[in-house]
Amino acid sequence: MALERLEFEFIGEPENGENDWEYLHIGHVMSGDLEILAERLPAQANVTRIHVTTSAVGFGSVWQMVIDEFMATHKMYGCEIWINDDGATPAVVKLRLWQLVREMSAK
Amino acid sequence: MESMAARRTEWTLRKNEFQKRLCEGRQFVDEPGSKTVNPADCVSLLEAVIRSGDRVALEGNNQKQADFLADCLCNVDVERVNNLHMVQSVIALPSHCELFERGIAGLADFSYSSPQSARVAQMVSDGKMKIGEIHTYLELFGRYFVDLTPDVALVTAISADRAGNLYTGPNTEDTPTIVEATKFRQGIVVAQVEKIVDKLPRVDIPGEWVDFLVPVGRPCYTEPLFTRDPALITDVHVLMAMMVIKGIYAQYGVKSLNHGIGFGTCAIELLLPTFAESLGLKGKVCSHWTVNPHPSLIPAIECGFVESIHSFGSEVGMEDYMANRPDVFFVGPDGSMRSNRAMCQVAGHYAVDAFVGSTLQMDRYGNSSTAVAGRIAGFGGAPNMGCDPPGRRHSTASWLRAGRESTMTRGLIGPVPRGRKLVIQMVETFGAGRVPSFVHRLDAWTLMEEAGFKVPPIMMYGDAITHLVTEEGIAHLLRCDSLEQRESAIKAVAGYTDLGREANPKETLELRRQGIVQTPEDLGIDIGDANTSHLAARSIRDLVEWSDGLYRPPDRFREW
Repeated sequence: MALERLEFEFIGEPENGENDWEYLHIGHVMSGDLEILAERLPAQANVTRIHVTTSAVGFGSVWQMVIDEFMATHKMYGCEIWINDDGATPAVVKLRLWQLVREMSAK
Repeated sequence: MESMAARRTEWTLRKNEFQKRLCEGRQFVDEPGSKTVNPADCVSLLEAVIRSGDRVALEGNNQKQADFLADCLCNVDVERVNNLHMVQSVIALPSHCELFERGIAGLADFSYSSPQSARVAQMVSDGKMKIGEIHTYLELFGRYFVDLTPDVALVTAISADRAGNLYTGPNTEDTPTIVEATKFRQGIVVAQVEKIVDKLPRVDIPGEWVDFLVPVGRPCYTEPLFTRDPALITDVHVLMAMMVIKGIYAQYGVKSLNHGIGFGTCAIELLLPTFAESLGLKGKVCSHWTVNPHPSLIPAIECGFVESIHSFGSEVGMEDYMANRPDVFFVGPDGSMRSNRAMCQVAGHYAVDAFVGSTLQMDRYGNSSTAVAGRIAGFGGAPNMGCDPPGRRHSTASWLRAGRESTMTRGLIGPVPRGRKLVIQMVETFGAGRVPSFVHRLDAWTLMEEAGFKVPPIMMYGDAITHLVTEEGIAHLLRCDSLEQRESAIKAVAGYTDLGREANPKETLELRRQGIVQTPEDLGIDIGDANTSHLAARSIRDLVEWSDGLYRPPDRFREW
């Protein structure tokens, strides 16, 4: 099965540095769903890189919009994020990203 | 003096005709004076009582099917019986199509054909099936009593006594409507039953309305259509369901309602004992239902949310549960539930505060359709549930509030107060395989061209929709004051579809300020908290446990 890889990078000031998490995992790779793995970079890091591996080829512009909205809303700077997707809809992608934020703030 | 039409002198032509057919049919009964025909003689019976060109109601329901009679009808001598006009609510079985392939039937007036949608489209394009019209259930039932009265009805029941009384039980569905229309215009009624017994649990159809009985020794085919496995509900469904409960049910005080069979509505049902309870909504919303006995309603029933449920049909496996909850379901003196599609359609049309459904496609005006090119699926009952009935005159709190908010109505009737039914569509912006649900042109237009329809098969017209709910938020379309504003509100919740990308962010903000569009955030719902752990049941097995073992799901839903 052909996979498409997409890379996104954002630079900005990390917002809430007091959260105590290092690694997080949300979701599952299954048809119509995805998993997100997130690693927190050292405190001074202001770059977030998001690596998407997806089975649905040709949706780069939609990924760009969903991830732009996510970063504009939550300003998750200073993370390394891997997304492994098996054809999730934008609705599912967005929900999982928001669930990730909730997990982060719960830690 | 004006010339006068000649006086009619013959008044019993139909009666005479059917008396003749009755006599011919009676040569196949097992003994003189009996109505019982050996299954082996059933084809001959049908050849005796049906004439070419007859209108025939072959009982094809949403769920139970007169499958034995359908098979027999397929085997009549096509030289003797052909060109039949089938008037049946659902084209469900391969045998229903076979009648047309073999030339026994030529014309169909029906409501729903989803199970055979591809084959129906093919037969139409091959010229084997001519479609009169595609109806909603109530329209077709209405026409049974006007210009589509059946000459012959082929129906199905659980059991009969020797006098011809029928017990149709929980899956009574369309039988009373079909038999009444046929018999009171002197038509012939043939019933297949599993067996003939000395005493029936109750009489659903009086024996004198039934001419022939065929005991086939097995139950008729019945499809479990309304069982949704809670394990297949996604977090997105939960998010949308939370929005409906908090942003619509709680706001309007929706007490009476109909739900479609999507996973979104299934999620609502399973959030009543948890999320809705936490909002203090028990007793305030969702107490009276016109809906099939969805197994996913069991937890809400057990928690006392639900006061009553009247049903179009039954659901396989729910029989004992319903029999043990007679305060909630419509249960006969014998102890078993009775459904009635016509009555429940009337109730769902006129007597409920809200309908919630889903669709495959919606255009910028809010018109929605499940039509797919190459498939003719019909309408069923959804358009009568999913509309505001202009003939409604009684009021409820929800109806009055929705009426007050319906800005555009005033343009036509002035400042006269009038209520409105809520018609809510739950639509994920993208369906399976990332196919966008919001489109510039509905596939219904293509199907119209392909099939030669006069109008595109729209399931619900945009003017009927009061609320559109997607994972992006709620569009309170009834609060819009122009078609342009409705379009903007639809685009505002259409997500990353092409239509959604046309939304103007400034305009969306203004719509949110005016309360026309509400995002989960506006409703105080944390998107990150929307997940299936909130559901009262997360598997079929959970539902069985909620029911104390009274719900007995069909094997295909058992994974333990």
